[in-house]
Amino acid sequence: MNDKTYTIEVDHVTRVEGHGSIRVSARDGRVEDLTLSITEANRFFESFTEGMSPHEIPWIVGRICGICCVGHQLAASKAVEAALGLTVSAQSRRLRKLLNESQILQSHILHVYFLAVPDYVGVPSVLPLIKTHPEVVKRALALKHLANEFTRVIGGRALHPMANTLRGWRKLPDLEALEGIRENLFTALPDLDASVGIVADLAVPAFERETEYVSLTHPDEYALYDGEIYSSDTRETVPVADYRRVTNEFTVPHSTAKYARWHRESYMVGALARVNNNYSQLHPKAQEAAERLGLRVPCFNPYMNNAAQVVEIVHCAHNSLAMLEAVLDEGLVEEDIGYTPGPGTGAGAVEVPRGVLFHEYRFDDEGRCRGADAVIPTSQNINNIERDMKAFAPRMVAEMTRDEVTLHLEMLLRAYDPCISCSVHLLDVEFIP
Amino acid sequence: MSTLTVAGIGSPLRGDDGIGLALVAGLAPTAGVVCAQWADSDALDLAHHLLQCPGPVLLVDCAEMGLAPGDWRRFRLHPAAEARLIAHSRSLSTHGLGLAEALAIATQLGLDVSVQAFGVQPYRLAHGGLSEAMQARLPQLQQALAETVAQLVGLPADHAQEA
Repeated sequence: MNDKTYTIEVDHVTRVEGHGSIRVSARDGRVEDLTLSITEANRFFESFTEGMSPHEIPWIVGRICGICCVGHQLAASKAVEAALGLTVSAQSRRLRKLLNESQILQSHILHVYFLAVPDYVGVPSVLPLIKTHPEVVKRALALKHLANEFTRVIGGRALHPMANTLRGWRKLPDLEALEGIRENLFTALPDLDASVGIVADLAVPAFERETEYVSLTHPDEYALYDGEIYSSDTRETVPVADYRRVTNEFTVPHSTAKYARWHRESYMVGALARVNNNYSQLHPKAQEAAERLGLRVPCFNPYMNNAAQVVEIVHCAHNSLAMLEAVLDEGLVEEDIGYTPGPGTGAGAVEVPRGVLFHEYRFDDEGRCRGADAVIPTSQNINNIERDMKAFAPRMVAEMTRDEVTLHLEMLLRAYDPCISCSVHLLDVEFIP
Repeated sequence: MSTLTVAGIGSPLRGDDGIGLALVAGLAPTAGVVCAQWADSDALDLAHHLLQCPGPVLLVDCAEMGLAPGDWRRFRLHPAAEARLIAHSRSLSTHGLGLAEALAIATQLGLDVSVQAFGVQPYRLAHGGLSEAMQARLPQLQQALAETVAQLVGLPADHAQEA
């Protein structure tokens, strides 16, 4: 045994959603084995939808996650609407985009400030960070609160909002409250600028591995709510209905989460994939932020996913301000959201904080759910994360101490902002008639 | 005396976890008291709310205290918990952040007002609204909360009974 022969067991990794473990065996400075194990128990969410009416599904599956509940609700809404051939008005589409961006703001602020930044300033959690950087944490709390309020005003609740349903809004947002959100968001812009400065000053580990970057893309906008599936490898798009051609899920013995691959052995989804694929459609202020952060596309450093999240915070703030102004100018009108249940199968996709999320549902002649599938961003990323680790670990082991290797592997996992609880929502369930 | 914030916390959809919200909603207006509903707040939001409070705070919540269901206690939330939290902070995740962590964060960021809790032992924490037993207990709990608030703002005891 020497200082280059050791076993690292991180069981389990903290500051991520859910339970995952990293195990590395090094001998004489060489990596003998490395596994990223997902140990969270399966939760069988799709099976809960068996027999449900179409409108119940988005609210139920939103409970897959408390962090990305909006994303699950929206992807499910779109999938059910596609299955039943239901239309959504321009007003409701705009409200959904606002709801989605409010959740991306919430989640990215939480992750960047409270989960990722502590790594870069050498403290184990946000609590010691308060002592050394109180103004940073105060700013983060205020931004997180604003994003929570944003979700609450648009969706009716900050957590698991219930205002959105099939075809539109059950209860429209209060215009006065929306004006308050617009004002507060505008007032917070300098804080967002400061956030860019904080993250720009962090020393990001210099590890790169080119992979396939997968996201939605849309001809008219930076794709977060709508679009087709785009691959950086082929530069071609695939309709959302064909998402299984993209995800190609498979299982491995050491993970309760499924793995995914498309044109190569693994692919990446999330903020960095979106910024890489759709950079030109970012708000100009977000592009400025990217430059300040040293994020030049295509970027192959997965640690830069945190910088990409900051870029999207800036994008979502400015884009939401524009959408809020449009809503306030045009007002909101009550709409007919009635529908008739019936048979059909449909898929829906939406970009959520951690990447593209797919849902699909099948209904029988009576409109009861008889099949469900959800493919989660973290499930799509886990394979890529493990391959990043395997690619980077040899250099880490050769150049770093054991503690530094441990930290950098944890940081790598956290950089992806994995939601492990989401990723083990199920293994395939085929309903038995 | 500076303004007392009486804040209900918890979830209205988790049975008796919503008792704090129900009690604060039923509290009669009292001079020197601001009522707040911090429903479904996560720890970070709670820390933010606490930092906005101008004076002492009384948090009204469901609490597992090992008492008979429906019993209540008032107790002071002690900053010493913060030090213990920091000692174990490496294990923190977003799922592990609760009221104690919210207090720790707010205290470290300068919260220097007294924070007390009015805790009620639940009957049932399943999905849905307040349990029937808790609903039956509401009048006594509302009286107890009114008396506690009156005591904290220095009003005579009969004020609470009138309220």
